[in-house]
Amino acid sequence: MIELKNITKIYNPKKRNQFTALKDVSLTVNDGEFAAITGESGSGKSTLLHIIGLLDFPTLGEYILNGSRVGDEGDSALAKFRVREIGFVKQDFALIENYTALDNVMMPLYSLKAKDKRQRAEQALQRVGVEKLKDKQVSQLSGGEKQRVAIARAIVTEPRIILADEPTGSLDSKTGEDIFNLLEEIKNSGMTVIVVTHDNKLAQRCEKRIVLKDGKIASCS
Amino acid sequence: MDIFKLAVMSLEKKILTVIMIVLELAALFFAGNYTICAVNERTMLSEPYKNILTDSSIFFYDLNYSMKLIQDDTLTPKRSQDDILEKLEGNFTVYNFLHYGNNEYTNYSLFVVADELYKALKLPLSSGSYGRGADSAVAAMGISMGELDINTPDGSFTLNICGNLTENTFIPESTTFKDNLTAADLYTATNNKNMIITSKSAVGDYVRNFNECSFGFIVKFDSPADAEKNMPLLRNEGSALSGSIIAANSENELLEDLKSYLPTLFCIFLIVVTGLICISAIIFDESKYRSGVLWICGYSKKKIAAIQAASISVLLSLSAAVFAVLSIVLNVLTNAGTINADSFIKLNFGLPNFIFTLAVSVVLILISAAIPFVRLFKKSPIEYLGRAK
Repeated sequence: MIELKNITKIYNPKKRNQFTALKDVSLTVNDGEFAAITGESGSGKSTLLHIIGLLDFPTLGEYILNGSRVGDEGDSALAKFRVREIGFVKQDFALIENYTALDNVMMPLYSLKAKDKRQRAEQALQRVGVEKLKDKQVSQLSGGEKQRVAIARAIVTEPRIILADEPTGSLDSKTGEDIFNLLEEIKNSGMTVIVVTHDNKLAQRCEKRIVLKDGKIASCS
Repeated sequence: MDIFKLAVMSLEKKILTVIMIVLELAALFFAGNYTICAVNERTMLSEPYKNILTDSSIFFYDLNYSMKLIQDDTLTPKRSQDDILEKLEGNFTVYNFLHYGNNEYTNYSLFVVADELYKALKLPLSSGSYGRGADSAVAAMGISMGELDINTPDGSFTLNICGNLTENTFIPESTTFKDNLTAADLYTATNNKNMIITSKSAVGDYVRNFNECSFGFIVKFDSPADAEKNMPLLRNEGSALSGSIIAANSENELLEDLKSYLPTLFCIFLIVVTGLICISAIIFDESKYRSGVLWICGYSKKKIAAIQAASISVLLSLSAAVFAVLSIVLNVLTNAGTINADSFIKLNFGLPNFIFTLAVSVVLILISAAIPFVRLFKKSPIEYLGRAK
């Protein structure tokens, strides 16, 4: 279970360009839930997702994951925890363009032996339906294919949580629909999936909808 | 993927950028090291003399006598070195040298020294050829690289040219031709080209006679006290100067010479620093996005910085290899005489070169990896990936 208690995030604190992205945000996401975070641009959606994903850290507040407080660990411990527990998907795919699909998917598997890495990565690519593209450079793939590779990378370590920041934002509606279906499949396999999206139609397909406005939770249903 | 593999992978996909950075770094290494080599060349040649030209040694010379001998067009010595040496007290070692020149041909001097002096000098090899007319000379000389052929009415022999003195060492002004030469005259800097030549004992009497004609030698005593004791006697016989004074003046002239290069050295320093900053910025900019991706993939900040440092190390190694190959090629061509060493590069490497190269490498790694690493600690690498709209 993901629990955020009174999370506040201030960028550039004590400076002239100080900006409060999140103000006193508290929410809970249960295991296996499919949650959507929506809101206008600049409402703090991505910041919230980054904090949940331990990619960024709150200025104030507590983050409790599966009953334990997280975020206070050292750099290396946190990185290991993150790769084990959380997979992240970005709108712009966040792939290394001149690596192959397989190389990209293998990146989180740095603690495994080469043979095991390859096997796990191929399995992940197969699961998202792009195993035939494994030796192709990412730059040669379409947007939908790239996002599938990104999702494969996110699930390759079999994390408990998948976080997707506008996963369909750079895709056409048909491809976006396919990607969302894929995320639903992943959720159905037991993972918790939290998606940031502008698309209300897609958000309505989620079990929980969290609406942010000006850095605060406007509604949670 | 392990750190080194990731570092290499990121480089092999950006060949043009890598080539550009490697060549720029190699050029930086070359600019800096060439400057240092030029300084080394100046200082290295004076080093061996410090052992010979000390408080315990006396530089003795009788230019007047030599000139008169040459003018008389004879090689028969009218005075003997032994006559003078017999009068000296204490233990000593004699270093002979030859000074050859006359009023018309004063653009170089020639030194012939014993083998043991040559070994002590440890001079780097140089190449070059000095044409020499023989009309007014005692002996006709055809100097080619590595060898000096001396043809005399009594026969010919070959001496091996082994090194090149600079004008900063003890060189009597061969254009100075006057009575009552003073000590100051003896070490006035000149533009003479001077060669150190080893002579084998098998050359025979001619060399000894030749040496005696010029009538100059260095006497190194066991102690400064012995040198001081014998100084008045040698001054009575000709011109004599403490070796340490010559060495000190050589050092001063060397420093003055180096000072004149300060503006150039400063410019080169600025170029190196600016170049380093630019290269660091390019490397960091190229790797920013990758840092963000690695962060998403669960790499710690330390690991990200280590991958960055590994990338830079690869670039530095490639640059060092390019620089090394270039230096070797230049040295080979110089030694082969394909490039005229006098007007081009003499790459005399020493400890300062190692220190400079290491400093450049450390600064590059600091600017490209360590400083961004500090920045990574303060902010999240996710920011390098930008935000969703």
